[in-house]
Amino acid sequence: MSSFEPKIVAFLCNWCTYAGADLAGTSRYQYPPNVRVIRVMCSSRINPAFIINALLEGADGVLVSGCHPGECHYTSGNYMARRRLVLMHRMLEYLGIHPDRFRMSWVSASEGAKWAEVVTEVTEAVKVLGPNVIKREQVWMQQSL
Amino acid sequence: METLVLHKDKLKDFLKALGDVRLVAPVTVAGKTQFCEVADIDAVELDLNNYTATTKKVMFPQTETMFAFRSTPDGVKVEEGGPAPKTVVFGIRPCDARSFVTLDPLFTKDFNDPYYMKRRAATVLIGHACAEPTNRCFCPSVSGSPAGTEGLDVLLTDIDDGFHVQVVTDRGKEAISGAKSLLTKATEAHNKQKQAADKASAAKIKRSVNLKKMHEILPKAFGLPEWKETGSKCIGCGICTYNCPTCHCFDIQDEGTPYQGRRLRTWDACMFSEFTMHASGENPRHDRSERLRNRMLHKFSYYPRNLGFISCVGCGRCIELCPVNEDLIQILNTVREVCNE
Amino acid sequence: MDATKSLRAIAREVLGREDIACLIGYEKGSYGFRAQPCVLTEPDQADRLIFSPLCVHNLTNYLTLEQIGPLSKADIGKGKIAVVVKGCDSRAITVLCAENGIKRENLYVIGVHSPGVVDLKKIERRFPNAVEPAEVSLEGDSFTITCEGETASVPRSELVNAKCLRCKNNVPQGCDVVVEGPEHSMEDDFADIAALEAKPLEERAHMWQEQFSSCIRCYACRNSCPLCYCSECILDKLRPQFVRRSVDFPENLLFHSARAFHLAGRCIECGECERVCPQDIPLMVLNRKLARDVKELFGYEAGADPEQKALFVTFKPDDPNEGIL
Repeated sequence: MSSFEPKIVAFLCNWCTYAGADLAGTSRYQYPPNVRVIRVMCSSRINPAFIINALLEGADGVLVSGCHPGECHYTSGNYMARRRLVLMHRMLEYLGIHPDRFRMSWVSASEGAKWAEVVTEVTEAVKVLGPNVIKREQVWMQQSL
Repeated sequence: METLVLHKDKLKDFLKALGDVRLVAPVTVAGKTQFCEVADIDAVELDLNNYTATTKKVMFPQTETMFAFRSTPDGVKVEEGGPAPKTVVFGIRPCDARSFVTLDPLFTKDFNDPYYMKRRAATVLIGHACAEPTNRCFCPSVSGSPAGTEGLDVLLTDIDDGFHVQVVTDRGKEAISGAKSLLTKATEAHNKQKQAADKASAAKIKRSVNLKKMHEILPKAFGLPEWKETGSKCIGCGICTYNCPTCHCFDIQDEGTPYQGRRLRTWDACMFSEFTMHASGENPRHDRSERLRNRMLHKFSYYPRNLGFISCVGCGRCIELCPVNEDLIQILNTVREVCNE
Repeated sequence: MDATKSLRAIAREVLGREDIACLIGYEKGSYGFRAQPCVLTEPDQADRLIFSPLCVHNLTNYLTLEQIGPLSKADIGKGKIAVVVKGCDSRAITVLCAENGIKRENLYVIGVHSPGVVDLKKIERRFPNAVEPAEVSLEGDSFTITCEGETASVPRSELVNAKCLRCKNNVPQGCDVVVEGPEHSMEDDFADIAALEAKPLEERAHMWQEQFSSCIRCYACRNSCPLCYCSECILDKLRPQFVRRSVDFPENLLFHSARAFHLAGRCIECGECERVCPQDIPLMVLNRKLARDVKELFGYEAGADPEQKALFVTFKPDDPNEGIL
């Protein structure tokens, strides 16, 4: 196994997955420390441009997680998110970005164990892929034609 | 100055003999002609028809870092760009080369623009005379020519056995000095062939526009309703400005984080509504026809009056690429007609 | 020729009406194979109108361009805008009305059964350097082309725009008046999309990198699109700045994916973005991929039904859970 430790940006819905991740912590489930959590009120808050932006800003993988279908705090937010993000997932693959770099999951507030599993699975998959190469230039001084 | 001849088969050797320089030439990438740095000399294409790819980026890149900054325990460190690499531009058309002559006063008049000037000083332009002007070309109308040498250091013209090489400046002479052994002196016959080629290509230009006193007519035409009519079909994209070799407006932006980043300039286009948008939200040129009018007046009235050149070299890219057939020649002819001049 | 004649007759009548402010149509272009859009306001201008396979533009774009298309702010409310549409263009009006981009009662839609438009790049390669305005008409299965005093006949399939070869339906929908002609409709088999999908990921990545790197961000694809009409586009926004102004592959990737995704379930495949691109980026290859996936995943087709709501404001509880952990 390589020593590469990926950075994974995780957008978590406030009502389900964020609480689920909290539960994973209080229940002392072990999972890889590679995720950087950003809390949003609902998975439908995720503009598809956030995902590409996260990759461009240096994330090696992106995870969006929210309530199970039918359990949205706002009734239908996650249904809306699902339509958008399932399509986005397909488009990214078409553009040549590996489908494992962007994943989506449903994790409820009571599923601390599932959260640990999801993070483990996503991290392992990104580790295999290696660093993301589509990044914004962070070398600021350069000559270009 | 000198006139020489380069045999067809020796073109690649000639390019290699230019020495250790950054070579910029037309190459085909992803099925389209681009004007860019050449990694492989075999990829250089000279038998292309007039390419539409922009050439001004050689001196005036679309995105240019002005300086980079970084905050350190000892304060903010600012890093400026290094010198421009020695560059030879090969295969540029006379109209495109001439565009740099019209841009020079703009970048030097009140203030010496270091970014443009450093590239200008480090770049030698080896032109390729136009053998096949297209239906968009009108360079003679703006005092250009398909075999013009203005702005060029060396001009190549297709003749029977290869290229007629006209050395225009001392810099040009120096740049090709490494290729001396490949060149032979042009004979009278060669020079005649070149003259015939120039004449033949000039005869192929069919479009023209009368620009006599245009810089005085246009301001008089400012309030005409015809602007509204022709401008209403403009869709406000940046094709005409971004592909124009003489359009030069730019925007300055900062990128990065508060701890490190860069200040850069990028092209901007007067046809975008944001171009004149004020911080208050007011836009003095809120209509697309007003923006189109401004572009015409800038090129054919303000610029010649302030800097002594028409800001157009007659390459016709704006005419060919415009999605809605907004035609500069048609617009200027209409203006003249309506003003009865 | 007949379409032009009928169109002029309709225009003369329409422009004479009190409730019509202007008419957006096509007129002869300035040179060669170009036709150009025009805005007419008086009945006696009607004879300027033309309709031929050179009328490539989607004029519904003018209905949503900033400043309400051809009208300046002062003209708003003076009357309806009459617009000439082909089959594909008419679907843009359907989408625009469905999402409240424009109000149908403010329009007078003149439909034309288009026999297919030419691909300007192909025809200009075939007949280079035409200066005198050329004429093109469809006779049977061939285009008759009159250019610089000479007449030629070329099979339609060689010069027609690729989008017309997979045209869903050339009969314009929801029009107030229609200029009739031959009808045709086809199914898009998306074979080229499937072929690209079958290629290895790296190859696709390389292809898009090459294509997007050449983008000069002139935004012609956005401005020529009848359905790109947000008053504040995320590409222009500075705070927050989604897309940086620097022009390089990562920013261009973000720009093009945002543009394409914003059109998912809305793109009516008029092909304007691809036609206008000065760098020949195959934008429809991306748009059609999304159109096909939207159909496959959600059974949704843009502009198919005036009553259907926008794709992303609706959902079905049994939408696919594809790839979700």
